[in-house]
Amino acid sequence: MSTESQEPALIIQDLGKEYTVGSKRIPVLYSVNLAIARGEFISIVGGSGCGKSTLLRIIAGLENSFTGTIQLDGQPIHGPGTDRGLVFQEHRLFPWLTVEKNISFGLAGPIAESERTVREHIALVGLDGFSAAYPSQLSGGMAQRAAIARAIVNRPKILLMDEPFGALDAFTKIQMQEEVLKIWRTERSTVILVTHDIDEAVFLSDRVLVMSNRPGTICRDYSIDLTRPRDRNSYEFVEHRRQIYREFFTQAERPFAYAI
Amino acid sequence: MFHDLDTAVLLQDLLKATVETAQMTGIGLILSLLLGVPLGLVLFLTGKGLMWENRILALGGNILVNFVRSLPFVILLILVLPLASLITGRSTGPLAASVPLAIAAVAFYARLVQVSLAEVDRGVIEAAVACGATHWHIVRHVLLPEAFPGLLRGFTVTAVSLIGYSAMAGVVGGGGIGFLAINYGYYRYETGVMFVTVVALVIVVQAIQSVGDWVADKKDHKIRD
Repeated sequence: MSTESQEPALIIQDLGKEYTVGSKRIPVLYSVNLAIARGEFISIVGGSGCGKSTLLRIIAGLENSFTGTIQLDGQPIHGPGTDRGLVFQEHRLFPWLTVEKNISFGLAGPIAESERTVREHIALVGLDGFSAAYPSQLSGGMAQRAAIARAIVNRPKILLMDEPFGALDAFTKIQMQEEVLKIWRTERSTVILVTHDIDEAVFLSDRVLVMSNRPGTICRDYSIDLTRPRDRNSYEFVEHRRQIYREFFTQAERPFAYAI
Repeated sequence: MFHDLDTAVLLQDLLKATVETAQMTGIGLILSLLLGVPLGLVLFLTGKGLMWENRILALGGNILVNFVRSLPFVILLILVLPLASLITGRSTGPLAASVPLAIAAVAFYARLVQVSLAEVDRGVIEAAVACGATHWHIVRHVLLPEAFPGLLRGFTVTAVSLIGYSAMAGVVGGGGIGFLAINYGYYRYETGVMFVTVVALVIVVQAIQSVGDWVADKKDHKIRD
């Protein structure tokens, strides 16, 4: 059930991004080309500082000075919009609002309909009974569930997640991965997940994109053609993971080769 | 105690002075809310990495606020006298004095608003931006509620400063409690009157500060606990 249509939903062509530090210009992204089909679950893995979060922020519309083109359903992206939902590593919930109010924050439209949508999404992320709780009363995993609900309540075309489980403990993380798969199946949305956890990427994704370091570009594109639910200990799973690990570490070793 | 002064006359004067102080600081405070909050928002939001990032506007706003804030209030008072008489139609009295007071209050409070807004977690602001919320929605539902306790504390500080400034309004015949203290206590050596006015000022300032702190604490707890 990987794709609903082969028509790409998101097309990125020759994307580049530079940061200016002092008088120096540091390339962060260089010639990124990417096509993501509707309903696909994509993971982007890479070392820290490779620009994977920047890429996600550009898609979210939070960065506006870049070169190249980026189109969602044929429309160029200008700034943030309700057609994309973003989940950060930290939950970033509004501390003075309840779970319910946090989720309804970005919702526009009639109140009765909003209330129903919010209730549905609270149930979807498994937070029944916590709608009146404040973020400070939630555990890390629960807060992240609320953040996911907030990101998908507008039924975005794409759900963007920036290392969403990076700050969670190992057990909660595995539980949350299952939840995200459930949400993805229910909402039939397109997902782009940025992570440094290869196991997580192989477990969740239809495709795993490996990014190289400075300037960041997509250097490998692995299709994970395993059926779901996936067994993390199966031979095929381990094989996929090994392959990506290898890609990763040969690349990271390159600087040392120069040093010698 | 009050030498040759009649107590009844003094009380009458004190009442009149209190009304004048209330009038001057009231006008100043209302305008600091109406103009200082938007100016503070502009100062903050035109800053680097924010929604209305604009170097020229940010620089212009900063220079303007710094200019007003660097002038000693007595000088500002005299400087804007022509403007005051143009706006209010008179060049003396509490109404005329409330023009320079309002200018000082707006600049002062705008800076405090900017500082309070800067305390709001950038990550949370960015999350709101990423939700696709409109700028107005973010200002109304994220920035102002989150910064509210700070905004309130700043407002209390502004109110107390304004009462202090209003004492100088006597220069343009503005009247007020502070002026009463100077006039009777200093120029006429009526120590008793000065004492009474100082007590009155202390009570007013304490009351404002206590109410401000109490409401801000209540709001703070609601957010943090």
